[in-house]
Amino acid sequence: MSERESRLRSLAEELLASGQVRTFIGFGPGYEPSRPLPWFAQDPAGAAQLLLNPFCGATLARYLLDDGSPGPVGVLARGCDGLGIERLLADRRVSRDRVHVVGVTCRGAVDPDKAYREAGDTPLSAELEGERVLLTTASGTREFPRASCLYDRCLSCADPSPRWADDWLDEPLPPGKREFPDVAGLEQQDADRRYAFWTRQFSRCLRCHACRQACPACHCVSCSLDHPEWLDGGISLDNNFMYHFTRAYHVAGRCIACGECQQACPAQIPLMLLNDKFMRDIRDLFGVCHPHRPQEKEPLGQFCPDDPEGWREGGAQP
Amino acid sequence: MSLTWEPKIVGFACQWCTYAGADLAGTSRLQYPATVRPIRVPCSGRVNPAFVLRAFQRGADGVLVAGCHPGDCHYTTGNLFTRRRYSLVKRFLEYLGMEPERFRVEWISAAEGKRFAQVVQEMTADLKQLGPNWKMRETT
Amino acid sequence: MPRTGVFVCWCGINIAKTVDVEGVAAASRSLPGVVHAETYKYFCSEPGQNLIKEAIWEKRLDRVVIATCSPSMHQATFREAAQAAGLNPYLVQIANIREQCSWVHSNREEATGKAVALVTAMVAKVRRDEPLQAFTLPVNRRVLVIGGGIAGMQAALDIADAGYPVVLVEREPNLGGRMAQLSETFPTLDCASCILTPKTAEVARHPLIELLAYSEVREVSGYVGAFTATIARKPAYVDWDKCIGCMLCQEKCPRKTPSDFQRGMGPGKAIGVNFPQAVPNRPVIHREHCTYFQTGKCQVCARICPVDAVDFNQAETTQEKQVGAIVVATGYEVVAPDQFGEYGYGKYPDVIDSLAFERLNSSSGPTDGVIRRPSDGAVPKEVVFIQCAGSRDPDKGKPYCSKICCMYTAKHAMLYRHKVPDGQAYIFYMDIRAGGKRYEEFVQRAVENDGALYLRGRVARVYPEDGRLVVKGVDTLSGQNVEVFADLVVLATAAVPSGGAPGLAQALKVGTDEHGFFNEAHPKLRPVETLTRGIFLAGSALAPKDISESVAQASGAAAKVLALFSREELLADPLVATVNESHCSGCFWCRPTCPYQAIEEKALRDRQVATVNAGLCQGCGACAAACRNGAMKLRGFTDEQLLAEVNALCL
Repeated sequence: MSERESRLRSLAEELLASGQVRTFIGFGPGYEPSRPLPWFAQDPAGAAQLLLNPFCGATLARYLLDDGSPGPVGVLARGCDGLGIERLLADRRVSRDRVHVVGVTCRGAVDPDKAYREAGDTPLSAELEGERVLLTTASGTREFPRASCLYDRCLSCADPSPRWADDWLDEPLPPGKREFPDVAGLEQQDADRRYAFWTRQFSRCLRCHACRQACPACHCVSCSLDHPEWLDGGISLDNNFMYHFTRAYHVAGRCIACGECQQACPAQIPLMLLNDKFMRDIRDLFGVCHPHRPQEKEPLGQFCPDDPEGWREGGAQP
Repeated sequence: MSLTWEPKIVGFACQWCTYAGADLAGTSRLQYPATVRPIRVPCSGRVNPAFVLRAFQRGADGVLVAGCHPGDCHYTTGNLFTRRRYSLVKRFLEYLGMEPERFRVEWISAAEGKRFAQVVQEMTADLKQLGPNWKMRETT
Repeated sequence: MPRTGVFVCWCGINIAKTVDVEGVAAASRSLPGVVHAETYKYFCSEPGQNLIKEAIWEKRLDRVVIATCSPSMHQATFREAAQAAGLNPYLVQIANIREQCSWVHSNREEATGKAVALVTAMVAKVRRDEPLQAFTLPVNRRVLVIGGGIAGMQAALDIADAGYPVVLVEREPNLGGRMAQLSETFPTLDCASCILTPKTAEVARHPLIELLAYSEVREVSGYVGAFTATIARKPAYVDWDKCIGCMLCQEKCPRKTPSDFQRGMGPGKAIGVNFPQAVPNRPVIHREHCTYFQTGKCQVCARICPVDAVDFNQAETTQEKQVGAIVVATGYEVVAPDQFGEYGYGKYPDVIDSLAFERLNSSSGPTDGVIRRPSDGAVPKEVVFIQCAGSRDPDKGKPYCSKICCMYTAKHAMLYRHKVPDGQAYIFYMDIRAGGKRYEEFVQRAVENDGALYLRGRVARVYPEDGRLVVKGVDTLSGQNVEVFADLVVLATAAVPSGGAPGLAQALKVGTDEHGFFNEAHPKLRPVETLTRGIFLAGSALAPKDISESVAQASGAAAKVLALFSREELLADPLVATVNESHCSGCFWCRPTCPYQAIEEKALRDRQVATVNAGLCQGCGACAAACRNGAMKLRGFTDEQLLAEVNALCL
């Protein structure tokens, strides 16, 4: 057990025992060691089962909405969780006095599928060491490059630590800068090829709405994409374009870049490529950089008197 | 029906500036192609981007969103939100593969009947060159 | 399914020449919900309107589409006709097939096709229209005027003279505002108090003006016709109802203090009035200067007062006033002295601002109108005036022109020469802006008759030497460096919004520009209105203005108020935003897009949701576009309606 894990357990135990929180959201045992699951500890015994290891992947913020407990909720927060919590606070879906944030610095989470592919066996534990990942399977421990083991979303992550927390498990790191090489790559292609690319992607969409359900910014009490006047139920390419256009636009300027949507997609549609396009253009056109604080005004809920006219500046090319 | 194909343009026009400008084009008897089908809205800031996509979905060959010049909004700030919103949406549509000529944002004041006619003429010519739109369009 | 009637107008040959009107009517008959379609030469004519009314009765129509000229021409006509026939007027839509079809297209086939599309869209839209009632807002015909300077007083008098009650709130203990500090006025050189005092007296005795001096507006709620203002009365520590205005207290008060009114030059007292003609002529105790409040001893004023009016226990009181309209006339002040290190302002006593120079000129000023410099009381023989001190200076955050300084500086130079005939005035300036009736002539008089020496250029530094001040600058016309030895330096400091303006703007929910001046509804066409219906602006609250402009604007604002008060009730357009509460998540991201602050909060069992104050909403629909899930709905332009129009036009 790592030092951070034991600190997490004792802190959560203390918070629960003292009644400071009624529930603590973190990670707990899943059906195999490489797949820990979100864990709602309700008592000190539950806290004793909390896990904190490189397999802890999912962004936890959205579980704050699923929590029905009346009292304050404690939550483990890495950078993505922290931004997700800020998102929910800014959208007024969660109130500050109901959440107790335990901050931790994250250097990326290991994707169990990638790890399985690399190691050729079910990974039992993992350790991050600089640019390398040490994976232990039943047959021993081997080293792999970071890029081939971590979740894609963690590879482009700019927020190792939350911006603030009520308690810290370790020293926070400052946010970095997010770059958008894949967006630029797609922009290099001509319109027809881009359309063909997205057609290939969207024609796979099952409209299962997993991307929406996983997103900390997509939590309307009633979603427009369930309203028949906006989108009838039919799964067709044009409806899928409508769905994905609307989903991406609705999180434009609000996306926290946690990548949960893409992670959740069973059809493996590169949804972050849509979110990143808005994020990049918002940075280029209006100077609002990711990660911007969700508490600040939304980029689309404000303006400057001398904003550029984005449609005149060479269209898709930056 | 005429044998030559004519493009279909859905034009969102703010009632204070662009719609009045289009009326002025009428009272001035300026001629422009019958390709544009205007939709009167109170302000360009009322136009949800999904309306634009819906137009393409239902078979529009081009979409125009037009309002007062920045600084002249009847509601003072509506078109400044429009500017931000459609700066992004325009680029996003192109990113999804739409040709730039198919979607335009224009500031057309109540005095610019000529400008309205000119924009419709330009857009019609561009769209004729491109041919009918089939991207993001429903198949029947 | 509604029963829709379609009426296709020929407009003589205006439409019929290019559009096959019968064809349009025939095509309409096959549209969903259309039970009747007909054409007529002129539906706007009386027989034409009667045809529509008859069809509504006979065919039991509950929706009407008229394909005719632009809605800006006859929408109101047709809505009234429908209403006369018993149909809700908001169930009528216009398809514009003249200005935007027959007049701009020549190909009959194409024009007809487009006309059919436009009718189809309107049939689809009208189907989704709901019957609406223009709601009425009762008008409380009383006005709140904030600010008792010349603009506020003028507005109050104009409105009260028309017979409506006015509540006039003034922050200071007395009326008059900035103008009360002035000595003479340009371009006539008549004395400020000679023209101001009759106004203050008129305000004071007007039976319809309730003057709340030494008071501030703290909160404002409501909307046009029905505002509620919370007004705080600051403690004067003197019971003004008992007080008879003898001013024995001021005379006997042992505590001499610098007076703000005299720009810190003259002695004031801890109790008293700002100037002898003050209206109301009632003293206040300045707590921060009062010996009793500082040490617990003294009470000379209380002992001397013949009517026992001094009350050291007085506390702030608040009251609410219900009004139907508000005029904001909060005026300006001059920029703080710490901005001008290079001129030594605040450091050398003989570097003063122009308001101080007004006081030196004023017969009720600290020197009884004799121009003496603050340091030693000597009459200055050389005076340097520096214009644009702060104004037109982006580095100082004031890129704007303060507008009045060119004129009052010319006035100062003249007054100075009249009082010190052997004195010399130097004026450093950037440009002379003397636009206005007899303004340019006035400046020329200063130059030609009164020997003012204008030097074009900026002053770099002012520093003391041998009891005088050295002013170093550049004359950009000759290209020479200039050095003037001066006895007194007067800065024409930038005019800035009065200190209370930002808080007031917030309370009123009215916007200000980046400098804090109130925003007008339209810079050219609605200069005295704000974006909030029922709130008007006058005077320098909006931007620096001279007296005549302030008075003109105040009368303009008064006229707007009177127009509002000319009705018992206001009709408000029902085409405003409403919230579908079951859909609203309560994120409130609609709020920043609303220019009218019309979006308010409402508590549901489990969350706060948005609600629209229909009195404030102007129906722009920015909120509806900002709402991600369509919970915010703009009546008359709902998502369903606009999507239906799109669908119909793409057929």
